[in-house]
Amino acid sequence: MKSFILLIMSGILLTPLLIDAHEKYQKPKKSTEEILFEPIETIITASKREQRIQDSPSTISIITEEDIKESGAMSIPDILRFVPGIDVMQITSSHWEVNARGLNQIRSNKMLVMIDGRSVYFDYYGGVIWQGLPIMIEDISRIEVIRSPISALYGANAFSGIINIITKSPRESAGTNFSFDGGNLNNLRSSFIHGGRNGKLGYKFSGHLRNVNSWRDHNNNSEKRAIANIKLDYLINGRSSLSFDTGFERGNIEQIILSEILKFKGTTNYAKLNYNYLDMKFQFFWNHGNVSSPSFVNYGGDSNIKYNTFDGEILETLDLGSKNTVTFGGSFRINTIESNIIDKDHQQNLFAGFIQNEFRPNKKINTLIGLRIDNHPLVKNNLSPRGSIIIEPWRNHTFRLTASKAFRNPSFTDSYLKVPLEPKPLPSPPLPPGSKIDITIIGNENLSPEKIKTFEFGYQTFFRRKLKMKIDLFYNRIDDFIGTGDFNAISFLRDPITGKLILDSEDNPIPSVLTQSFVNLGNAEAFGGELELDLLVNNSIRLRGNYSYLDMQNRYTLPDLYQRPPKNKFNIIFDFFFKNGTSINLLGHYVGKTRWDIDTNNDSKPEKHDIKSYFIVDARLAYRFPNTKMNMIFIIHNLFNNIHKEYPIIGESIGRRIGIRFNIRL
Amino acid sequence: MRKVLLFIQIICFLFSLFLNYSLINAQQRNISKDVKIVALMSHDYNEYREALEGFKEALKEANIKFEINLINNIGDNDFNPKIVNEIQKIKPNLILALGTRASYNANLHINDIPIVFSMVLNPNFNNSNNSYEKNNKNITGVTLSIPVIKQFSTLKEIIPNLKTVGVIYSPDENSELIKEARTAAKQLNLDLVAADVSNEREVPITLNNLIRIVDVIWLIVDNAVNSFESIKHIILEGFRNDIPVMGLAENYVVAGAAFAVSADYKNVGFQSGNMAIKILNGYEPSQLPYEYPQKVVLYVNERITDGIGLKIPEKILKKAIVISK
Repeated sequence: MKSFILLIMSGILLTPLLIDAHEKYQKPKKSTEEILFEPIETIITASKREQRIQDSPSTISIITEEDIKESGAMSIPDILRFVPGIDVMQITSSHWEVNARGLNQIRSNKMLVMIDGRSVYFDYYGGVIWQGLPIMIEDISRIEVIRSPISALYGANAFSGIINIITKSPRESAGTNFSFDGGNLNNLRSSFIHGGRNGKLGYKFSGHLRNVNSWRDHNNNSEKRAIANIKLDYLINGRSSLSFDTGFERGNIEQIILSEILKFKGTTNYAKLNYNYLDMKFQFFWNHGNVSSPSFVNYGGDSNIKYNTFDGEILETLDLGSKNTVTFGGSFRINTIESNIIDKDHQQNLFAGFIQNEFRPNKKINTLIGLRIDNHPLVKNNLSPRGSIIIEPWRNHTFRLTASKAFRNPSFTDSYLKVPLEPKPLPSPPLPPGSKIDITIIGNENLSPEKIKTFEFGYQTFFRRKLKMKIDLFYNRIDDFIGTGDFNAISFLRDPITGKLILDSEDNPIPSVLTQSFVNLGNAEAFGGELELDLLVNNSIRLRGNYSYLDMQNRYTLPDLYQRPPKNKFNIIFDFFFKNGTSINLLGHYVGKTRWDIDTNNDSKPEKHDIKSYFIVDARLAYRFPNTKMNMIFIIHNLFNNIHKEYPIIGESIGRRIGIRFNIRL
Repeated sequence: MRKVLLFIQIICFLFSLFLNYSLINAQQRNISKDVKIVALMSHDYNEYREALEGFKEALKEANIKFEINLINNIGDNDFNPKIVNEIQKIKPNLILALGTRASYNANLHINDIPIVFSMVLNPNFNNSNNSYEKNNKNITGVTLSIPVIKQFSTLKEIIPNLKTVGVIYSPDENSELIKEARTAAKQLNLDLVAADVSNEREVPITLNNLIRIVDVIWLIVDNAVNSFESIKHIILEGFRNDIPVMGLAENYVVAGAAFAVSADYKNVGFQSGNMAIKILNGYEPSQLPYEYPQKVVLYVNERITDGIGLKIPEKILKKAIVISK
C-alpha cells in the first residue's frame, strides 16, 4: 500500500515536468514530396497470403493492441478471459491456467502457446507458467487465438488450440516507451521498450520488473520477476530478411503443484533465429530453463529441473497456378531434461513432416486439406489430418465446415516421473514395529498420446459493417486422457521372523511398497457453441459481447465422473471514446458453475468440489495528457468486489484489484 | 473604287503577316542566344530526373537553345555559400528548382534570378518565415498536389456508388486541407468523415471505428499517418475489412493500396518548362500563379481490388496503370 501511494505521488509530481519537457518538443515539419517517392515494403503479397479472418479454416479470434489497451489487463490471461470458448482460471495471484472448450485443469497442458512462433510450454509437463513468460503486455502487437485442434500444422500440444502472442517489430517500437504500474497487493510493474532502425537493421531492447503479493496473505510475496529481451531484424534485400531474438526471465513465482503452493525460483533463457527468403521460412530456437522449488510432494529435498529444447523448422509455400497453394515443410525438436523428479536424465528427439493444400475453385469457395506426421521415441508415429471448406455465397456471409484430429504426446513427467512420497507409518501393534508403506509416483513409458477429433461449423457476417456476428458450433471427442491411475502394490508386508505375508482383517496382504502411475483413462465428448457480436453504435461507442455454451460428458476422471467445466459463460464490453482522447471501458465477465473431482488425500478417491458461478465487472479509464506523449490509465478489476474462487480448496479468494498506470513515450 | 478597296485589303493582310512575323522573330530574337539554366535537385531521385526530362522537352519543342547546369543533392542542409557563388558565376537566365528543399533554398538565397519550382508538394515551404507567400515575387512553378475536388471526382469514377470517404489527419498539419475536402465532398454529394489524431499511435484505434462507417479510406500527406507502421496498418485493415485504400502514389499501390491518383512527373516537368518559357519571354514570376498538375495517372492494384470485391468500371480501368494481378 505504501508503494502504491508513493507511485501515485511520483506520478503527480512528474507530470508537470513531463508536460514542460514536451512543450520543448518540436512539432514535426510538414511532409515533403519525398514521401511519395520512398519505396514501401510490400504489405500484401500474392504469396504471403494475407488472409481475411472470415477465410480462416479454423475458429480464430484476434486480440489487437487496442483491445489489450482497452481492457486495462495487467496480465495475458486477463486479456484471454474475454475470448469466447477460452477458459481462464486464476488460482492464485500468480498462478493462472488457460485452455479451450472445457479442457482447463490445474497444470493445464493441452494448448500450444507460442511467442512469435516459438513454443513456450515446458516439455517436462507440457504446460505454461503464464506469469513466467518472458514478455510484457506493452510489447504485444496482437494475440491470435485458435480454439480448434490444429496438430495438422503445428504438431503435438496444439490439442485444444493455439495461442500465438506476436510482439512488436523494431519498427513498431520506434522510440522509447516507459510504463509504470501500481496497485493493491503490492502490485508494482515497470517496463521500458526502446526500438529503432539504422539503415537496414532494426533493433529493440526491452526490460520489465514485476512484483505481486498474494490474495491469501497481503504481506506474502507471490511473484518477483525480471525480464529482458533483445530483438534485431535485418532486411538483406527485397527478397530476404533475417531476425534474431533473445532474452531471459528470472525470479520467483508461486505455483500450485498437487495441493501445495510452492515457490519456484529459476531462470529461463531463449534465443531464436528466423530467415525468410521469398516464401520460404526457416526458424531455429533454443529454450533453456533451470528451475527449483521445494519438493512437489512435501517430502524430501527440493525439486530441480534443468531443460533444453532445440527446435528447427523449415516451411515453403508454392502457388501452383492461380487456384492452388501448397504449403509443406518439416521440423525437428530435441528435448533434454535433467531432474531429480524423473528416473534419470533423458533426451527425446522428435521429427515431423507436414503438407497442406489450399484449393480455390472459384472466388466463393475455398477448400483446404492438410496432413502432418509426427514421430516420437515412445509413441512412434502420429497422423494429424485436417480438412475444411469455406463458402461465401454472398459477400459478407461466410460458412465454414472443418474436421480435424489432434494429439498430445505424453510429457516427460507422464513418461519418466519418479517421486517418492512420505512413507505412511502403519499402526504397531498389531503390525511389527517400523511397518510403513512406501509410495512412489512413477511415470509410464507405455502411454498412448491423448487424442481429439473435432467437427466444426462456423458462420460469419458483417451487417452494414457496423455489426459483426460470428457463430461457431463444435463437437469434440477426446480419447486416452492421461491421468493418475490406481495404486499398485509392488511388495507386501511379511512377518520378520516367519517371513509369512501379513494379512488384514479381510485376509488381504498389506502392501509395503505402492506405486501410482499415469494411465490412459476414459474419454469425453463435448459439444457446444460460441456466439460473438461486435456493434459500432457510432464513432464514440462500441459494444461487444460473446456467449459460450459447452456440454461435456466426462468419462475420464475416476471414479465419480463428476467433473464438469462451466456450461455457460458470457462477456460484455462497452467502449466509450471521447474527442479529447479520454476513453472509458466497462467489461463484464460471467462464468457458470464448475464441478471438480480432486484427490486431495492421494488415495485414488477424489472428492467432489463445486465452484459457484461468478460475475465480475472491470472498469478502465484512460486519459491522454494534452500536447504530451503521456497517458494515464486507472483500472479496477472486479469493481464490485465479488469475492470468489476460481479453483476449489487451495485456490485463493479473489477480490478487487485497483491499479494505476502511467505510460510515457519519448 | 473596288480596286482601291482591294488594294487596301491586300496591304492590311500583308501588314498583319509582317506584324506576326516580326513578333515571332522578336520573341526568338529575345531568346535567340543560348539560355543558361541552373537546375537545383533536392536529391538524386528518378522522379526529379523525369521532371527534368519533361522540362527539357518543353524547351526543345519551343525551339529554345539551352544549357543546363545541374547542381544535385542539395539534401537536407541549407545552401552553403559555395552553391550561391557557383550560381552567381554561371549567371543563369533562370533557375529550375526540383523538390521542396531546392525550392526553399533558392527562394531564400536568390533574389535576382527568376525561379521556377517543380515537383513541390506544398509550395508554402517549411519554416514559413521565408514562405513562398511572403517572398513570391521571384518564384513560381508547378506543385505536385492534386486538387481535392479532382481526387474525389476520380474516386467517384472508380466507385460509382461511393457515399462516404474516410480520412485520418492531424489538425496541426491539415486543418486547411480538410476544410477544402469538406467543400469538395459537398459539391460532389459525398460525406466526408475526418477523424483527427494527435500522433501516429492513435491511428490504429481511430481506424478501428472509422473503417466500419466509410466506403473508402483516403490517405493524405500527414506526419501522423505516413509512418510505415501507420500505412501498413491502414492498408492491412482496409484489405481485411474489404475497404479500398486510396494511396498517395504508385509505391503505395505496389505495397497494397487499392489504387492511387498521382501526377505524371514528366508532364509536371513539361508544365514547368512552359512556365519557364513565359518567364524567358518577359513575364514576371509574380504574374504567373503556380499551377497544379494537368496530367494525372491512376494506378490500380487489381489483386487487391479483386480481393475486396471492388469492380472498377472497364472504361476507367483501361486508362489506368494496373500494377499487379
